[in-house]
Amino acid sequence: MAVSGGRRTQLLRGVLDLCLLAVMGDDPAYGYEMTKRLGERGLSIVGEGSIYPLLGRLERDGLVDTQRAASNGGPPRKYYRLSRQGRQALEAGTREWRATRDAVDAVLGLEGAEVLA
Amino acid sequence: MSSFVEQCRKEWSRLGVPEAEANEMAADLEADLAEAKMEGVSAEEVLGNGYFDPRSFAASWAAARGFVRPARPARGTIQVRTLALALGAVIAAAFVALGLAFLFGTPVINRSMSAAAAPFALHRHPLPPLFVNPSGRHPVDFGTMVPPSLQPAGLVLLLLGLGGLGAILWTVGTQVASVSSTPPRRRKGRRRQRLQPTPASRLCCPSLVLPSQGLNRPLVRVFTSQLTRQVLAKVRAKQMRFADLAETS
Repeated sequence: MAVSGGRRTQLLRGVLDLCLLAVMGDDPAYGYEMTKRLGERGLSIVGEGSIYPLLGRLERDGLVDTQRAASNGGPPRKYYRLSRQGRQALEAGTREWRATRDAVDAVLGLEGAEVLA
Repeated sequence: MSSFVEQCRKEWSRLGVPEAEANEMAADLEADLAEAKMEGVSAEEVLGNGYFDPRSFAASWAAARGFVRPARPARGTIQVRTLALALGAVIAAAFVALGLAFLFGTPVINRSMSAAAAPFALHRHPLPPLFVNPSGRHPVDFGTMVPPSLQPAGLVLLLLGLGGLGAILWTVGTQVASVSSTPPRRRKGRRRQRLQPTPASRLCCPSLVLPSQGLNRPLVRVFTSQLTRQVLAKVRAKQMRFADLAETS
């Protein structure tokens, strides 16, 4: 389908901040580390927007706390950690995502398919 | 420093990002790209689409961190633009009017002439002197004022005028859309007034005063209403006591 690439971009744009909050919820992480964690969970951002502006926005909105610390043998890195506000935003965003996903699944008739599978 | 990071630094410098912040972002980016390279990961995988447009990438990162504000035209520029648009609209309207006059002027004037050529007795009111010659007998031949050779010119003027009006409307529409989509800025120096604790409130009810947020408003409302009730009750009690004293005396 011609619009599939554009749709993936649009979908990712809507939830990438949520995914970043989720991957830094486990442990504090720096930029590239978060890209790796996203990739390990099957979400590659190749061909999509960068995470850096998004991290900047999360920091500006107070959803993450930052701290410079030495990385494993490398130069000091800026580590991002969920703030209390960020944790609340992650919970609210996860609820929103689940509700949206369920509604779209119902419209697309995927609920029955899941049950059968 | 990689060429990508170098271009980002130039863009941040051009945008006026503070040097300390630019250094920090450049160092993070450089370290991430170096680590990715060591692991055999492409820069595109780290930077997404931003890899192909370093300037946009740098600008969006700086804007997301709040170092760059979208530029707004100065007030003088807005006034000049508004005047230019108004002048353009007037000129375009004049073109349309002239074009219409050149195109349809002859038939309209012929109708006037036919009306003017009718016997004056049929008219309830005498025709104004504009439509008759000084002798008052023959109508003036207005048809010669718009020769047929001007009709193509009229068409051109009409099209030009309509095009100009359309362009002006489109410009105004886009400006209105951009203004309505821009969030309003809070004016400097005009902050919302926050209810501050007074010395009396601190003394009478210190539990209502939060450490940094001033007074807890719902609690204050409850407290003030209770206080009012107590004061009213005391006043009523005193009134009754005075009444009792008056009766006994």
